[in-house]
Amino acid sequence: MSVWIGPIIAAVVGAVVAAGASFGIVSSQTAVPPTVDKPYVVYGATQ
Amino acid sequence: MTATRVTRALAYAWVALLSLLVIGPALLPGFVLSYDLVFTPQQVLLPGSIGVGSGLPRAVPQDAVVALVETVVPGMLVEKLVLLAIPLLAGTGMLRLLRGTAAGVVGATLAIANPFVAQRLVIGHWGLLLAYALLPWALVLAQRLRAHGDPWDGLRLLLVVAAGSLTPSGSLLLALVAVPPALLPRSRYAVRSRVLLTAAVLATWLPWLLPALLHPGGAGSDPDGTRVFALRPDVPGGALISALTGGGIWNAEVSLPSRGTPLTWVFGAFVLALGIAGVPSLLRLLGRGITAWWAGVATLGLLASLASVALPGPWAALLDGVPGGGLARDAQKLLAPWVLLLAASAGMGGGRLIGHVRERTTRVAALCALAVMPLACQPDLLWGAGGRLVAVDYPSDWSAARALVAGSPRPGDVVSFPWTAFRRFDWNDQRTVLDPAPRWLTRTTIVSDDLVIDTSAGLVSVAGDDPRAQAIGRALARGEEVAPLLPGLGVGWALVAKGTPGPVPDLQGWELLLDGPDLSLYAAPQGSVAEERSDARLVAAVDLVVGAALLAGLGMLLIRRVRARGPRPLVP
Repeated sequence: MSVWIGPIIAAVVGAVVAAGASFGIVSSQTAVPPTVDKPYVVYGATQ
Repeated sequence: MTATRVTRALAYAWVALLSLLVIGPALLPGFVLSYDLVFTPQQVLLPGSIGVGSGLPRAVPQDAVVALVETVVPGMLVEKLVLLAIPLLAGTGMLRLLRGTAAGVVGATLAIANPFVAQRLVIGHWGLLLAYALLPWALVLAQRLRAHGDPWDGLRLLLVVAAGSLTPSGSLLLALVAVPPALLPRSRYAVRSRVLLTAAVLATWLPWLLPALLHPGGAGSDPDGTRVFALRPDVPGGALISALTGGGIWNAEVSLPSRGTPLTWVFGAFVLALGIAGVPSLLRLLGRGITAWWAGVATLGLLASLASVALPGPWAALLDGVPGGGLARDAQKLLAPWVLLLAASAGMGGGRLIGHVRERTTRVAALCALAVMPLACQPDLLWGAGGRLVAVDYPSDWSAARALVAGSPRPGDVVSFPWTAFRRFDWNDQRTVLDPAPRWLTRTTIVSDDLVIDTSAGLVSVAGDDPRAQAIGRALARGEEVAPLLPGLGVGWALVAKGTPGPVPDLQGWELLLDGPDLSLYAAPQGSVAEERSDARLVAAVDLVVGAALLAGLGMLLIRRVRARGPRPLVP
């Protein structure tokens, strides 16, 4: 039992923060808007 | 199996699991195409692969090594092995360097799951990341060499440095951080061997240094690059916090959203506190010589990257005035030694913290919490940087175009349109990716090498260094006809990618050989052959000598290892 307590605590902590992430504490990367359309494909943006 | 062995095995299993979680969807069938990360089914060895194309050698000897490996291993597998090797090597190297299980697990987790690795993975700088991942291994060897002076460790260190030297920046990272500690005073490594090791490490630079020195246009790069590739504050609190926490890549598009949250601050402060707490233990473990050197280089890198944003004028003047200064223009790269040092020191601090806990259950719980914390605070570091590293299939037009070019006796190089360095294809979910044509086709392919960057002052174009590409770009900018110009530049073919923005010139009069949904391939009415650079054979010969010497060294180590095991009895 004692060996498992660590992973269980870690899993609970991870699940709580992951749940927070899904509610917007940490937004999903897929939410980042794509580069605006330009006549060229830009390498990236510094702003 | 003893309890210690079980614990060590669990630590390695954690690194393996974490590596799988970090790379995630990139391991599914297909190719991950993200910014500079471009693999194809089978890259061909071309003059540009060894740096004697018309542009400056940047992915050299990376392209040559990939082309040689892909003669026996499919490109898709090579890419997955490379991507998986980065977290695996960084994590296992940290476990070896820090020895203690608790310190190793915390250090390995921080070395794998940090913004530096995530941002560089998304932008596709896998050559630099490979060097980053090999750095803990190189430091393990440097420490052994310093303590015992075994010449075989010198050879091992040389091979590790060479393995991470696929790009100039990776080469410099390993050579500057890991090699000097083995050579500095109080090392038990024989003085003669130190001279030999220094010479051998410098020889591993030749594959990129020699073509850079021989490049007809010199090794200078556009000063605009120094300004736009400076460190970019990507967390609330500015450049200092960004740099201390390992972020700050110039490109806002590859920065992960977790960087913008207060958790970055809290977690960053916690890791820094652990790092400070771990300094005495790290000094005891590695010794003053190695730790001081590593800390010195890391601090210098940190200050230099901060100078790029705090003192842009002097920083640009410095880089523009120093030969090869362009190598440091992407300033966040300079943070690599700092990120690993912080991971190692925070690992030791974590180990120290856990060591204070007497009760075993609480100790295990604390270690698990420390290992999970970086992931919980920055969940978008996982699963291919939050789903950005996704494998896709190339449309069949690419294979068809390659077959047509490879199978035709028509002379000439290929030019790739639209005339922009990067592509955004629907089949790659509109992700920005470097034009894959030069790595697909069996002939030298001229692409636009001007890098267009979106800045607060509008679009800035960082000029490339390929004279043929510059000639085509100038003609397009002036609205001149491009097609008649191409044969004079040694171009016999034109590949036009569809569905991606950028200018495409009128190719009237050229023969249309392929007109698929994704690509068109044209052949010039009369082909012409580009002149081979006169120094190509010299560079190829030097590469062969360096490669053969390294392979011979690897062979010697393997033979020694086999002999050390001795003959095994047939019946045990």
